[in-house]
Amino acid sequence: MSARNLQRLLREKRVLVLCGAGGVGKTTTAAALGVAAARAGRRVLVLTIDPARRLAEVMGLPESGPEPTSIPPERLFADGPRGPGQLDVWMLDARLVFDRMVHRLAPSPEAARAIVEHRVYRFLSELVAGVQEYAATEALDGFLADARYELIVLDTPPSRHALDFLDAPGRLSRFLDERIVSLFGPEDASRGGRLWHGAQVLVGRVLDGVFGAGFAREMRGFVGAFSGLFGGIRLHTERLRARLASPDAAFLLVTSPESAALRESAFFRDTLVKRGLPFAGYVLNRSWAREDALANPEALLEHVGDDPHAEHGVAALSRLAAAEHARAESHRALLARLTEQLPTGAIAVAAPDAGAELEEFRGLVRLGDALAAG
Amino acid sequence: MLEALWEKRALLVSGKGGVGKSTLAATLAVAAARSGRQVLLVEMSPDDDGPSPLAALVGARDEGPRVTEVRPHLSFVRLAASEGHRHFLQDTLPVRWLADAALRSRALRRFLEAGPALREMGLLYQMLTLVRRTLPDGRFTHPLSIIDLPATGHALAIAALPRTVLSLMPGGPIGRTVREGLDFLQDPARTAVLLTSLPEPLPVSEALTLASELERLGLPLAAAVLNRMPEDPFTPESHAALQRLLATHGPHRGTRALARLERARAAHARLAAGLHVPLLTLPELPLTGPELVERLADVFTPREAAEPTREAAP
Repeated sequence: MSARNLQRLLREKRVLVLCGAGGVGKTTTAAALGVAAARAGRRVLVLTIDPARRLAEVMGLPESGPEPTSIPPERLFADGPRGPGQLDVWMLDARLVFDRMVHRLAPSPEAARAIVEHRVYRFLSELVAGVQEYAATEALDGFLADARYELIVLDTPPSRHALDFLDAPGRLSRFLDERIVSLFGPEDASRGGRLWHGAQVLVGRVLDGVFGAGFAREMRGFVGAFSGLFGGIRLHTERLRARLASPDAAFLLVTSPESAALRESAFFRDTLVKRGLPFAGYVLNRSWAREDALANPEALLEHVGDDPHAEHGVAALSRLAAAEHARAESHRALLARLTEQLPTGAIAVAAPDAGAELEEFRGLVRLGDALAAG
Repeated sequence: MLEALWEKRALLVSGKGGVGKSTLAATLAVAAARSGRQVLLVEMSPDDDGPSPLAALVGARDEGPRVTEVRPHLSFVRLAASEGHRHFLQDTLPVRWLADAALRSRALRRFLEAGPALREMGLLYQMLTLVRRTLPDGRFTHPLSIIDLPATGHALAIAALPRTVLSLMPGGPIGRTVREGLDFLQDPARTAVLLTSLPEPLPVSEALTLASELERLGLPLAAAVLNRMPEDPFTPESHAALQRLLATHGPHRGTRALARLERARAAHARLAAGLHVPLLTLPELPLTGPELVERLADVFTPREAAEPTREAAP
């Protein structure tokens, strides 16, 4: 049943958002799901942030480019007939996304240039919390309007808490809050009255005192130039929020068996549900839950002869087999507990530990197939 | 090796997410406390909501930005940017009422929370405040702080922060604070950075990248720790003999774990070759949470060594 469901997600959704703490294999999972959906016939874009270099090489991605890269069909369909599906991958370049946004939203090319060339702006992506995350949502918004793609798989930026991605745009828009803007904006006698004026003077003294008058002046200049864009940015954020809350979207949480997965997973699920976002389920990555139908190591003993090293080797393999079994058991127990906490309609899928296989594109194909097959 | 680490004022535990960074920080803290050091275990996470994995590992109740004693010799704190901002404004502004008024301004609080680099600055400032705090007799309140840095991206943001901030606002109290922070973080006599990784190809590649980043930022990398190293039950000869058997008779149960062990060995060798600092390993144990931390602390501080301390401080 879970298999059908994950296949259904790949077949029917417009957006799959993959969340998860850093190091759980989120990017690999996003890539494998994109591969599976494309091989099943859809036109797919995988939007990824900072993929490990090796994975980028496996996918055939350039370091970063201004446009998505297409995976050649001969690679996507290496093992069979070509289907109608198509897979593009784009490694998100936060600076580029921001530059484009500024140029689109600014009232004039000169205004856009004034922002992009400002000293504060050059530091923006390093400095303002949530810029990467905001850029991801901004890029997603753009690609959703793009008829080239039927499904977008979004790999969210690495973070400790799976929820960072959801909160960051909010954090950024709080920075772009009008009240803050007006603190730095030119003094406007017509608004706010004396109380407001008082606050502005106070904040001016604090900022000059704390940051030095030079920086406060620069911030004022920057915020003044940027303020024309705030309306547009807020509109985007709201539109995207509505989109992500619609049944077109699905959120999957990727966890690994090692991470203290359960507590955070439950927390994540509850928060999604509370915010009215469609929680689709869990992917338990690098799982050993599936047991191979193989012979026991002891079967090798009859071939050992009188080689003591071989005998020792087989005994060592037996110990490894016992450890392997214990590991598989604990992963199965974890999967069972994740399944227990599922809301109706949600799924929990185990993705096999692909080990060294991911050195090749074929490994992604196999991982995608395994995921879709549940 | 460890004795030298215990003499530092701050140990920064860094690494990519999911490699057991928090486990290592907690383990070091428990080991240092067992050997009689007064330790402050510090969580430095850019967001202060959600469950704290580090607090759970040492059995601390997550009390927000206040230092709480977990057991004799071991305290825990979760840094909060807002707390750092409060200290900073109080220490910086010439008069108390101005700081109080500033802290009451919602717009300013929001700006501090979301403005350029200010969140990281707040975390850094609270850390410095704690590190500098002294007892009435002049000794440091927290002679040794063990700091669980946020996952790589943010960790580098905090490490790179001083340079970024200094180029933006070279003058003024923030510039001064940040310069002091930078001096502290870059001083190998007071600070040591530990790099955490896993014995797998990708994490090792990332650890090597991170090591060169740390070097570029002038942070004193002191050691690397490879977490969850699987047990190796072979001798070189028995491993070779088994490989011959498997080549002839095909895979058996246990070959998945064997492949993993071989990947782990290769990863260990590659990391050791790529670093100029000692490489320690922690064994993979079938435990989680506080039990895992206590057992791993045994690796650093064997119980025999720990006993006298416990008697001394019941």
